[in-house]
Amino acid sequence: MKKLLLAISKGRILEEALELLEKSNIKCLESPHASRKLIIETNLKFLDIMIVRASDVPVYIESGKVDLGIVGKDTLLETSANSHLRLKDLNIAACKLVIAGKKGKILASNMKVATKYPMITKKFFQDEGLPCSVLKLYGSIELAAVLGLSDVIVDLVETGQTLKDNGLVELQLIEKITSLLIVNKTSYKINRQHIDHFLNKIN
Amino acid sequence: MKNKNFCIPNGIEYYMPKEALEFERLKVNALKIFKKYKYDYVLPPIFDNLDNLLNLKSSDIDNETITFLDKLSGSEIGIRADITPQIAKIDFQITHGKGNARFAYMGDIIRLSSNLFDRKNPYQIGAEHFGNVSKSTDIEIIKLMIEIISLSGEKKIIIELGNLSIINNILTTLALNDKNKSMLIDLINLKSITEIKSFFKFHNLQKTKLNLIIDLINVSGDIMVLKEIKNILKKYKVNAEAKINELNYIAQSISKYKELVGIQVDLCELHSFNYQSDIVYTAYVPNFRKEIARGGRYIAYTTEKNISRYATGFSLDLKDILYMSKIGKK
Repeated sequence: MKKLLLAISKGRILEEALELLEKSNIKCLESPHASRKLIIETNLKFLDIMIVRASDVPVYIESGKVDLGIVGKDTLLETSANSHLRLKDLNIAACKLVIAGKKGKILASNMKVATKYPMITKKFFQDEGLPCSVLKLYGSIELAAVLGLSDVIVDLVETGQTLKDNGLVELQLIEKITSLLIVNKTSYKINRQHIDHFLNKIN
Repeated sequence: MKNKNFCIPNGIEYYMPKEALEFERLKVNALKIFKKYKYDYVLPPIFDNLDNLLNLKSSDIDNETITFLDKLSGSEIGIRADITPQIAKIDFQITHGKGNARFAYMGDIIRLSSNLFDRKNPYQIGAEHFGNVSKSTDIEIIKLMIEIISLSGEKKIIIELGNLSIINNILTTLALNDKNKSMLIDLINLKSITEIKSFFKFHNLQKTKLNLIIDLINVSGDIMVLKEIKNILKKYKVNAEAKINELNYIAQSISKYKELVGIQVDLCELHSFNYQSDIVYTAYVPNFRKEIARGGRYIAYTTEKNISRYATGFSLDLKDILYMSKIGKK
C-alpha cells in the first residue's frame, strides 16, 4: 500500500498544524525544523509529512503526487485548482482577509488595489460592481497604501496591529480565513480507508 | 529552419516514433472493442459550426470552445472542446429521434483549461447509446468504459456511481437563483461542510435540508453505503427508493463482471451537473491525479414534437490511457 503524503504550509499554519497533530497523537519522527529531509516520516506507518510554501500546497494536491494538504482558505480561493475535496475546517491559523486603507476611504470604481491576492480581489470588486486595477505585490502590502502606490490594499489581518501602527484601518471584511484539510479527489476514492483513519484521529 | 529551439505551448505533447506507434495500436484496439459491443464508429470533424458544437446544456463546453467568425458566410464556427454534441447531431440525422442507436467516436479536441496539469489537446474517445436508456444500457456502457480503461494495463479500477436527480430534487426545493444554486453545487462538490453550513445560514434556508445534504455527503463509500443512503432518504421523507435500487442493481452487475473493479457510491459528486441529469458514473485508477473517465445519462436533444431524446455514454482521453500504460511498464 502506497503511503499517504501530507503537505503542510510553512509559517504560522505549520506551527499550529503540528500542535494539532501532536494532540491527535500523530508525531513526526524527526523535527521538521531541524531536519534537512524534505519528506518526514510520522509514527503512523501510512503517513509522511512535507513542508512547502502555502501557494504550492494546492499545486501538489492537484498533481496527485501529494494526497493531503493543510492550507489556508485564502490560498485555495486564490487558485483555480479544483481536483480536491475540503474535508475539514481545522479552525487553526484564524485571521481575516480584508480591504484596508486610510481612515474614511470610501470604496469606489477605478481604485488601485495592491494585494498578494489578485484573483480574490478582482472577483470581490467585480461582484460589488466596482471595476478596479489590481497591483500584485509579494510582501509588506501595507506600504502600498501608506506611500499612495494604491488607494486601498487587500491583505490578511490577524490582530490589526500592523494596520494600526501604519495609520491604516480595516474598511471591509472579504472573508474569514482558517486552515482546511484538503485531499486529492482520486486519492480519497482510492485510499479511503487510510484517509478515514487519519480523519478519525484528528477529529 | 530559422529557429532551432523546440518550444511548445504548455499542455501540448508531441508523440515521437515509439509513442506514436503505441498510440495507434491503442486506437486499433479501441476500435475492436467498439465493434465487439456493436457500436457504430463515426468520425465528425474537429472544426464545425458552433451550432453543432454547443448543443448540449453545458457552460463548461461553451467556455472552453475556441470560436471564430467565418467572414465569407458570416456564421460562427469553432474548434470542438467535446465531441458528444456532434454525436447527438449525428444521431438526429440518422434516426430523427426514433429507436435505439449506438455510436462510438474518437478524435482530437482542444480545451482551453486554466488548470496547470490539464492537457490542452486531449484525444477524446467515447461511446453513446441513444433511445431507451435503462439500467441495462448503463451496465453495457460501463463495461465498455472498463474495457477501454483496461487497455492501459491497469487492473485496479474504481467505478463510482451516483444519481444527480436526487440532489437536484433537494436543491429545487430550496428555490435558489442560478448563481446561488451553482455556488451551493460547488460547495457540495468540494464536500465543504463548514462552508455549506455558512451558506445555509447566510441565505436562511431550511435546516432539515442542510442536515440531509450533510448526511448524504458523509455516507459516500463502498456499495454497502446504499443501505445507509436508503435509510437517510427515508428519514427525510425523500422518495427515491427506485433510484437507489437501480444503482444497487448496476453496482451488483458491475462487481460480478470484473473482480478487481471496486464499486463506490457518492450521491454528492456533481461534476456534470449542468447537462447530466440522472445516473452518472466516474472511473478512478491509482496513481492518476484525477478521474480517468466520466459518463452518465443526459437528454441529447428534444424533437419537433417536444419528445426528449435520452442518452447514456462515457468519454475519456486516450492519451491518459497511453500515459497509464507507460507508468505500468515502469
